[in-house]
Amino acid sequence: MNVDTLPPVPDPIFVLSPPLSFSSFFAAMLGQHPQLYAIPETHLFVAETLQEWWESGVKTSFNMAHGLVRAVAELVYGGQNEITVQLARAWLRRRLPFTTGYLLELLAGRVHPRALAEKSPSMIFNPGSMQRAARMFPLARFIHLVEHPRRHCEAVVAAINDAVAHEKRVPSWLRQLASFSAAQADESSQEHPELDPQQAWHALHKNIGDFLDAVPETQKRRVRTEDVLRNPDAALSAIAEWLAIRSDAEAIDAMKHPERSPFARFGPDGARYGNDAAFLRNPALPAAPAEPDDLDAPFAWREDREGFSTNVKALARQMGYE
Amino acid sequence: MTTAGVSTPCDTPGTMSQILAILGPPRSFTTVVSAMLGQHPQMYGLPEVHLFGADTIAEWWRQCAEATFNMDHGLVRVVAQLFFGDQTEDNVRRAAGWLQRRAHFTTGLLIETLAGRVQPRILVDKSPSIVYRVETLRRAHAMFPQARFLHLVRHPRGHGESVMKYLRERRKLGPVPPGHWLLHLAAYPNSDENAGTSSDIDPQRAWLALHRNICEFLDFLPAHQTLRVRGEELVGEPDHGLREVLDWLGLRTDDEAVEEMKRPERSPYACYGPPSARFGNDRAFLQDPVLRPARAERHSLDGPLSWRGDGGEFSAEVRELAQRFGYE
Repeated sequence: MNVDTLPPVPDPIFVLSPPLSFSSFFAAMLGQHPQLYAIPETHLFVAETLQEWWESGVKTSFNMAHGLVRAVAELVYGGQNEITVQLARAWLRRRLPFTTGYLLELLAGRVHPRALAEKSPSMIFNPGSMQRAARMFPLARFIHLVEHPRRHCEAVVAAINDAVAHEKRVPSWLRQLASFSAAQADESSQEHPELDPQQAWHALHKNIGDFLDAVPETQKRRVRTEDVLRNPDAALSAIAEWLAIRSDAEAIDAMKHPERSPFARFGPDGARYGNDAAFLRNPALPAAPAEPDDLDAPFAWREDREGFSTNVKALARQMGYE
Repeated sequence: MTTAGVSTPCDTPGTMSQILAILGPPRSFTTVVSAMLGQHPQMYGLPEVHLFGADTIAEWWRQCAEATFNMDHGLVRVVAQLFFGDQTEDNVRRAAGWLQRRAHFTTGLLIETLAGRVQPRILVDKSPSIVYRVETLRRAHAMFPQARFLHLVRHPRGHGESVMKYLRERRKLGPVPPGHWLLHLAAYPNSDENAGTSSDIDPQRAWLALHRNICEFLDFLPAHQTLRVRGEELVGEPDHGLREVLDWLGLRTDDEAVEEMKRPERSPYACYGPPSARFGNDRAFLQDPVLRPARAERHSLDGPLSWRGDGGEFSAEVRELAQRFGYE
């Protein structure tokens, strides 16, 4: 397929949020809209070219390639099984000189006229990655997906407990997320600094906010996870209207079924992940939180009764949390 | 395969790379001639895209960042027009992203992509930057071995006076920075106004060097791929001059086609673009893109040069080359 013989692809939508922040559910929900298509985490914009992306993947402590391989298997080879996954890897290898933006455009061409929605938490660790996405797609829309810092911190603690229970070890990306002051440390570091996930919450949302300061108002929107969970019809309709796509009941109802995404389950051997493991295990829309979270209560996961820092509280209040 | 009268073998059925490159130094009627040719129903005229100065689009972007003029505007406008439908501010921004995503393309592949978009029309490229280095001309030929090359010449006196007039106009906007393309053209091979005395300003040197580059390149091409025309005749007597070019290209020469060519102002690039991509062509043309045959004045190779205070005249080399081009 030569993408340059087709009509231009619609401007993509990027979901920006830290890892373990509901973004797998949210992106899959967007992707169920009849005019959108969500792919799993491609992590494409950590690099300028696919060659650099491939080399980055070798160095990470998570399965960085799985999402893109699954997307290519699904969109180019028509499904996700061990053979198409193998073919997808080779398809990517043959395109190593391509820019990462061009690769995303090729995938967008496959789902045309639907607009592509993408979410890769790796993008927000480095402002350069978000700027690269904006440079390659200057009219892209950016959704800043936020959640209460307590909810995020509890998700990080739960993921650590889950990793210990299932894999007997905590991967370094998760250790860094839990103890962000050590985030710049080498992945092979054996340090085990104090568990304090609020720091990552603050640093990563600040990265997003700083990047979005330079993005025109019409191209960005903040969405609170809790609003989507408590009143999905209203929250999703507002998003659809902002994106100038259908907001009728049929379209919104489809969005409430993230489990229908072709990426809402574990993939075949060789490309198992590409989304948050909790989402892959149980991709149905979660229940809304029973009570609003509190910014002032001490942390349940620390014995020293520590609570949120002043900076975290201030940023959370800017987002409308109390 | 034969399309639009020009026989060109294609590497892939269904694709084509019909290119006509106009070769001439800046201030040689290249803008208006390109726009005129582009109005022919079997051709499509580009603004200045400056692609062949680089091997890849990544390198082209780096050159744009260092250029003393808005080098990216022409290509961004073309992509907006051809791939996004028009040249609104949103679409030139989209076009810039489209080009960023194609940083790995060779410049030739990018031209081929544009050519594919306008086929079966022949793409007309004119980027004066191409004539500064013979290697650049050879790159264009290596990528498009069947391309046609139109060598557009102008009397060296008319050229020099045009350069000086343009330099005066530019100075009204403020000091001309060292390295500026116009200063380089006027003081060739220098490009710093303060590097020497006023006698360093003498555009005949650029005229000679750049036309020599073109001649050196064209000498190695088959005769049927090249044509030399005097810009004064194309602009001053378009009915005759344009038909000579059309005959060479094997394209329609009927009155309807030729009349359309006399309306360069109808080109989608014959006006200023939106804020992010204002230029892409000569400013004078953008301000007043109508064909004015009276601009094609007659000049003499004899006598002192108006831009030199010492009564200096054309060098023997300039006179010899100008006479070879048919000037007196």
